[in-house]
Parts: sequence; C-alpha cells; structure tokens
Amino acid sequence: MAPSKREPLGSFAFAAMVAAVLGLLVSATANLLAPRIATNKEIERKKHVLITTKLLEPEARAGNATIERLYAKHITEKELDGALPLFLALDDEGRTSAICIPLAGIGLWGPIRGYLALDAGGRRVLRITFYEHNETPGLGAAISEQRWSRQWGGKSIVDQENQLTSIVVMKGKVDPLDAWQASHAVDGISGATITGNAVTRIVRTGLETYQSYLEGIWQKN
Amino acid sequence: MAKELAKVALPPLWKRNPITVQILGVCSALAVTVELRPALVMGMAVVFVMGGTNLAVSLLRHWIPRRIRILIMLAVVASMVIVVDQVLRAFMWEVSKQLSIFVGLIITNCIVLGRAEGFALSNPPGRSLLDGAASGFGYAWILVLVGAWRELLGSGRIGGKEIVPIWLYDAGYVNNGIMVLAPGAFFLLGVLVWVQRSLSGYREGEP
Repeated sequence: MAPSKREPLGSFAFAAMVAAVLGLLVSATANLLAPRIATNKEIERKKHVLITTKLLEPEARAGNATIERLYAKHITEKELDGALPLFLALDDEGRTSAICIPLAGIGLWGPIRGYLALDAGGRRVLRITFYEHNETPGLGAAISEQRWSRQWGGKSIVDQENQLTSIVVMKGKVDPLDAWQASHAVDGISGATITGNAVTRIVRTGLETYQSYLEGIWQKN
Repeated sequence: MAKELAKVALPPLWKRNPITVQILGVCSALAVTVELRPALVMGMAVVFVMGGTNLAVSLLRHWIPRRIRILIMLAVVASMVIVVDQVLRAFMWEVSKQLSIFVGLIITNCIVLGRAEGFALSNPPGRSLLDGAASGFGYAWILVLVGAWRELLGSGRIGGKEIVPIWLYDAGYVNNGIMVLAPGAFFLLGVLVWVQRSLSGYREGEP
C-alpha cells in the first residue's frame, strides 16, 4: 500500500527491508554455526561406528574428545571400488577386530540408516545398529532398541558352503529347534511386519553390495 | 514502577498461565515432555523466541503498516525460531535431536503471535520484552513440571539420574509405560490444569 501521513513507509518497502534484515540475521547465524554443526554430525557418525564395532557401549556417556580419540586409534576408513565406504576396527595390537559396513534403505515411513559390524572372520554378526529411521514409535521403532537388536549378535550370514544367506527377520519368533533359523534368523517385532521385512531387505542389499569384498575375507579365513 | 512491571510479568506465570488457563501451546507440551531435559530446553527456547519477538515487534510498532502486520510478525517469529534451532544444533546436539521438529513448530504456538499482536504492537519495548519472557516462563514451568513427572513415573529417573531405588523394582514396582506416551501427558496435563485453576481461583468466562 502506498505511503500516507499516518504510515510513513509503504507496505512493500517496509516488508522488503524487514525481509532483508531478518534474512541477514538468519544466514549470518547459520554460516557462523555451520562448522560446529558439521562437527556434531561427524562426531555422531563416528559414535555410531564405534558402538556398532563394540568399541563403545550405547549407554556410555562419552565426550567428543573421547570419541575422536577412540575413533582415531581403532577405526580405519577404507573405500572400496565403487566408492563404497568400509570401516575396519582394530584392537590394541592392530589386528582387525570387526568389519563395519553402512546400511541404508527405505522403511515403512521413511529412510532407515544403520551400520552392520561383522567379526574379523566376516561370517558372524558382531552388532547391528539403526541410528536413523521414522518407524512407528512402540512398534517398528524397536529396531533401534537394544532389547531387539542384541539378538543379532552371533548370527551367521553364510551357510556351510560359504554362500551368502544374509539374515531374516521372522514374522513371529524364531523356532529354537530349527537349526537354520537359529543361526540365520531373528525374532520379528509384533505389529511391525513391514518394518521387519524392510530390515531383512536392507541387510541383504547391504551384504550383497559388499559381497566381493567379503568373499575375499571368507577365503582367507 | 515496580508494581506496573509486576502487573506485566506476574499474570502469565500464574493467573493467566498460557497453558493451564488459556489452553494454548498444548501440542508441544505433550510431545517434548517425555523427559525433563528436553522440556527445560524447549521452555528456554520459547522464552527466547517470545522475548525476542515481542521486543522486535515493539521496536517496529510505529512503522509496521497495518495491513501486513501479521506477515511481519510471522517473519520475525520464523527468524527467531531458525536462530534458536541452529544454536541448539551447534551447542546442544543431543537435546536438539530429541526436540527435532518441535523447535521449528514454536512458530505455530498460539501464545507467540497472541502476545505479539495483543501486547507488543501497542506497548513500549521494555514492557513487551518482559511480557514475552514472562509468558514464555509461564509456559516453561508447566513443561518442566510435566516433564519431571513423566520422566519419574515413566522411566524412574529425573534429568537422567536414577531416582527410583532398585529395591523398589525388586519388590515389584514397574515403570508406568503410558507416561512415556502421549496419553500419559494428556492425563497429567488435565490434572495439572484442574489443580492450577482450583488454586488460582480461575472461573470460566471471567476476563
């Protein structure tokens, strides 16, 4: 609206000035804080790798310095052909203690991201963590809870002939008398079948992506 | 002078509390109060946003053209909210993830625009800042109370510290799972509204 005696500034001019000032304020803040936020994200990523490779426990309150130190000392980052990130965990003697691969895929409500760590032989699961997902609280969200994810520990991703079988999330509970299920399946989450199927799919895809590398590891052991 | 300031600062804390008396801003009061810490940080975020918005709007009040005043107020609140979100992500990463979208949703909180429109547009900056901050604190202490209760009853902790002793768990005590979910917050909030209104003598329909 045009300027008048009661309102000295036209609406357009005023709005434009306010927008400019606020825009400056917001972008200045964002730019100033961007490095800190990037650091926070990176620390969090490192923390997830450390937790998945059992170098850190989830309940442990570790400060940034501790996480950086542990990561620098024990984790070797590698990049395989095809820009595939890989994380090797080393013990105090420098021997590989875990092989950690990233997992990513689509769940029921949104993307699921996590890490899968295998032991040094590359055949058994050390730990699995899902650090990002949008699954239903109380149902599918259980995938990021220890009480569900800890059953993955010790499960086999290969059969007797060293063929990749991956791990299946059952609908219902694993039959303890079935030998195949006992080594290659985990209990499902009741009420979260779709999430469970998504996890099965995501783990399989993840392992298939790294299959050639893992086959090399299995042959050596 | 002090009496006048008290007239601005005190009502939002008790007699005209935004949540229990005006029933505004309830959505986030349910969502972020699972634990005490995020509830406290959210409360402080709202104090900052409301104080800052009221101050800015009050400083500009003689210049804002009538027709675009809501737009301008929204722009100010949105900017404040973005700044708070960035600061939280930079300095309180863990809590910012717990609060996730709810810091951004402060802009939808009726209290913020309500005070900007109802007070800051027609009052000097000092008073407006006080009014905004006081309304924020009125909101914040309710959140903190609900958060503390929900964390205590739902997880046996307050502020992350274990409060319920092990021997009580061994004797058969179980954490109340519903307190961790929204319905638990509803129940607590309902009781809190009832208790606070009884104590303050509020009557429906009175100004």
